[in-house]
Amino acid sequence: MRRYYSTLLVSLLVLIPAVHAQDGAFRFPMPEFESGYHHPEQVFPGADLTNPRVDVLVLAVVLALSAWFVLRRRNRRELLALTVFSLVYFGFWRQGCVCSVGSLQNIAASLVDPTFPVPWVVLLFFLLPLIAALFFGRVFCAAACPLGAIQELFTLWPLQLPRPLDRVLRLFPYLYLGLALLSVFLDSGFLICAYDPFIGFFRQGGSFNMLLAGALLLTAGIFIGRPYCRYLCPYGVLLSWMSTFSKWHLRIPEKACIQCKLCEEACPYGAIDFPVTEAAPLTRHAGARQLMLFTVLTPLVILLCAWIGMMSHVYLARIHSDIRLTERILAEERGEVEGMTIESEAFRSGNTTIPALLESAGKIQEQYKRGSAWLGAFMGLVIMVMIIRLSLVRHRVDYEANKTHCVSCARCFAYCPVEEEAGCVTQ
Amino acid sequence: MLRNKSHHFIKKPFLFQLSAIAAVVSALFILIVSTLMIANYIQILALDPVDQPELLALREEYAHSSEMDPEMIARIRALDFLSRKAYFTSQTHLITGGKLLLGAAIVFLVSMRLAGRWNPQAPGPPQVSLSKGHWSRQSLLRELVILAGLVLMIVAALAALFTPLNLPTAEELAAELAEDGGEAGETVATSEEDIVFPDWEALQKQWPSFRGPGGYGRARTEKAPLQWDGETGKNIRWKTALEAPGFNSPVVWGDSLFFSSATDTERKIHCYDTEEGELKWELQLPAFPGTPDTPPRVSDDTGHAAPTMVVHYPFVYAIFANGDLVCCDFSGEVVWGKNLGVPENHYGHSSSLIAWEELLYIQFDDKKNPRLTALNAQTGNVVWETKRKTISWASPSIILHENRPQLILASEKDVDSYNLSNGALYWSVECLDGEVAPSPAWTKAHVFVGQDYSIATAIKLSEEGGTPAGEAVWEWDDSLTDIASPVGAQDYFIMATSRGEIVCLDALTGEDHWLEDYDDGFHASPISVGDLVYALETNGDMHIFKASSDYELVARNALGDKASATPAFVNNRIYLRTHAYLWCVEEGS
Repeated sequence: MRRYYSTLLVSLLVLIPAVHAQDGAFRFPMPEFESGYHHPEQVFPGADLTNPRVDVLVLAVVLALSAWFVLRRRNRRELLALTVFSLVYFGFWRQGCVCSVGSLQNIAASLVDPTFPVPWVVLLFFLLPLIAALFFGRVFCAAACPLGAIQELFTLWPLQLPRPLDRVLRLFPYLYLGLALLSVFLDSGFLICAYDPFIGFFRQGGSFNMLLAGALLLTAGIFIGRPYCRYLCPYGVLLSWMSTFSKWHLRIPEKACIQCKLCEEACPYGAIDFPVTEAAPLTRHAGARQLMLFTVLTPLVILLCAWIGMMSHVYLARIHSDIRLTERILAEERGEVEGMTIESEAFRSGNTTIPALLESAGKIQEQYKRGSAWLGAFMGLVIMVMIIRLSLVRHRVDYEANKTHCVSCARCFAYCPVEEEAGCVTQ
Repeated sequence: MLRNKSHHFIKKPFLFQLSAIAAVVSALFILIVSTLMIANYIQILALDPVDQPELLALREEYAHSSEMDPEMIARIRALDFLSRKAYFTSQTHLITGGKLLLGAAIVFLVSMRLAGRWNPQAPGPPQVSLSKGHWSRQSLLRELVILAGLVLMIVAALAALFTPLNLPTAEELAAELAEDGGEAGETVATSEEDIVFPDWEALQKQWPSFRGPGGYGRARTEKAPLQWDGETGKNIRWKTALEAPGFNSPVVWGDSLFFSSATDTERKIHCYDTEEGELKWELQLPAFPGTPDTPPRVSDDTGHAAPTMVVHYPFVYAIFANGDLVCCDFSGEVVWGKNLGVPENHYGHSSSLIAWEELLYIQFDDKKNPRLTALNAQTGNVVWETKRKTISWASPSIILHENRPQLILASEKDVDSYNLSNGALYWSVECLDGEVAPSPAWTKAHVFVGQDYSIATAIKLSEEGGTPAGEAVWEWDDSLTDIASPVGAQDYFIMATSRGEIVCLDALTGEDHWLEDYDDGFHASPISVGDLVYALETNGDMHIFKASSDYELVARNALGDKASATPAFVNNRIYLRTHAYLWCVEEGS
């Protein structure tokens, strides 16, 4: 407990300079002087970066400690102290960058453009949490991710969403992942970074909408645990894939479950699977036929979704800023809107002509036609895989942490009376 | 083995109450600070210290006032300071609020966690175990996933349905805009018959635009009258009284003379017979789609009809301060017309039109979107359009250098040369400053621009890799013109200023040969006719002098009426538009 509060105190001390560092960040047009006054030449201070090796080292240590706290020490309090540290270091101190969640965009960009530079720090930030998930489950979500950390701390009165609703909402991270990759592949920007809801808090500044979205998510997070992690985080999709095959994932009872049911309401994230003791409603033959039907339907659904995705390419192409600019310029030319936006004003003061803009926009829309079809196909595949998985008959004897969705927060440990004495191997 | 974990769930009511109170207080504090910050943010949004209407009005009033009123300057400074102070105070409040919120959020979090710690809810077996009903839940979940997939598909399909499918091509957009401009019915050219517009040689025989063919102030008439008297009528062929507000200059084609006029409420084109000075017809413009109900604010010195018309047989074209552009034929019938949008221009739009082969060029001086547009002269469709960096009050000129035409434009910063066919920029020289009104002059392969309170610059024309190029070769910064455009006459550039000075500079070296002072000043641009230069003073006196290195006055003729428009020299005659009359001067009349 003492260690926990000392970490909090350190966090506060670190936050104070972080707040002051933002005072000079506001921009304002300089006054117009017509008296021969010369504006002083702007001087930009040199980059003052923390050694990236330190960041990687800290991440690796945090991941290792997280795995150790969860798997060996099974201690939530220590894990929570580590969470606070990560929030302070990766969030407020490093201001949310480099971030593993956003790094997947850099990796994706380098896949389509070999000249796109991917620093080894970014690569390691992308890979280390995935490797850790492959061995220990989502220990990155538990205590290393600043986005997860801030939500974990705000999970104060968690309510359990109905399990079916929770599972359906978990479709959205796939959609967000698809959109983010589409945006990267078609040179439309890094959506995940642009719509990071918590970066405004970390940097003590940002657009009103960004701060409002972050505040709403945190407020919702008081009751619905980790809403961003569960229903939006695209990196969480990759982590969940890795975690599904994790070698040493946490177990609720360290040894054999005694079916006491005490942990049933322990997890606010709906990540505990219950024993399946009832007989399956379908016969083996009928179940196999149903599974076969879904399997056969899969390519058709994928094709249908691809076609619908392709049809909506004009809408999706608006992700690209040039398309939004083109639509704005067209509206201005047609007299449908009054005045100019900053973007259209900048365009009109540049050398690009409207015909050139239209030509460029047309090419972008063509690219989006193909990209949107792929996005539709991906979503069709995700839906069908989800349906097929739900149709598989699995029998489970114990209460278990769901390897895919469990974020290794260690809340459930306190609820489980089964625990191994240190060095003891008895049940 | 089983372990007793009851120590995790020990309650401490007093500590719980303390932490709960702290949590409630900090939550209330967060709520209040957030509300205040949002209100402050909305206030900042509404507060634009740079563009406050009151401040803008004061600055505009100051810009138009001739005297430097120290009281007004002090008021502007005080208001500017106050609005900036208010803005930055709000910003400081936001920053302070942010820090308070951060602190309060930490207190809230810690106290809430402590409250949870000191009032734990011990787990017990659930009343209804979720381990029951697994298969029905799975079935419901499968149906919900299918439903969610369908919803996603429907949303995507709706997005596809309600989004316009494709962006138009440049040609389609031009046609669409032209079509929109023609919604008024009779204002769009419907005839597809091929019209042959006059070539460069044919233009030289007329006075088709501001400052004559090409718009650089050189008359091609063999000779021009030297002596006349407005009072006695000597050599005055005819004189017609006018009631037509507008400062634009007359243009002449054959036996027709055109000019435009406008008030707050109406815009007109006038056509006069050049032989007798009789009114042939007068056209009052209809309202086109987009024509504003309220006229734009213009200065009295500019008015609503400052741009000079252009004649491009068989059509004539006029543009007005509200953005109305019209094409009509020689009988006064509207061929097509459109509103280009009201240009944001604090004095009023004043750039004149010019035409070349099948294209009509518009230097559209809109501060928000300054541009050069080429329209099909027959249909009014946009053929090409190019952005300009800044506006000006000067007019475009077309020069033919080494058999290659160039469209020369002066802006507040640059002199730019464009390809007439596609709007490509040939060259650009940054040499101007301030509010530029004089148009470029040209002689001896040199383009000359100047603006009072700035400098005058000569730009030598050349070819670089088969492309026209321009390079500033000399500058001059003494008496410079502010309204009348300079003229290239033989080996000299000649400027007439509104202070009454006439300056003669050597075109090749910039050497100032002479400077003469006159009485009232010049608004009309001087015109070169052979080896003579005609400069019309604002009191109506025409000064005729030789274009030479020594000042040699040939004649001074009075009209007896104030004059601002540049005269037209064609067929051995001079046509003048003074404030109250239209004149035709011809020797032997």
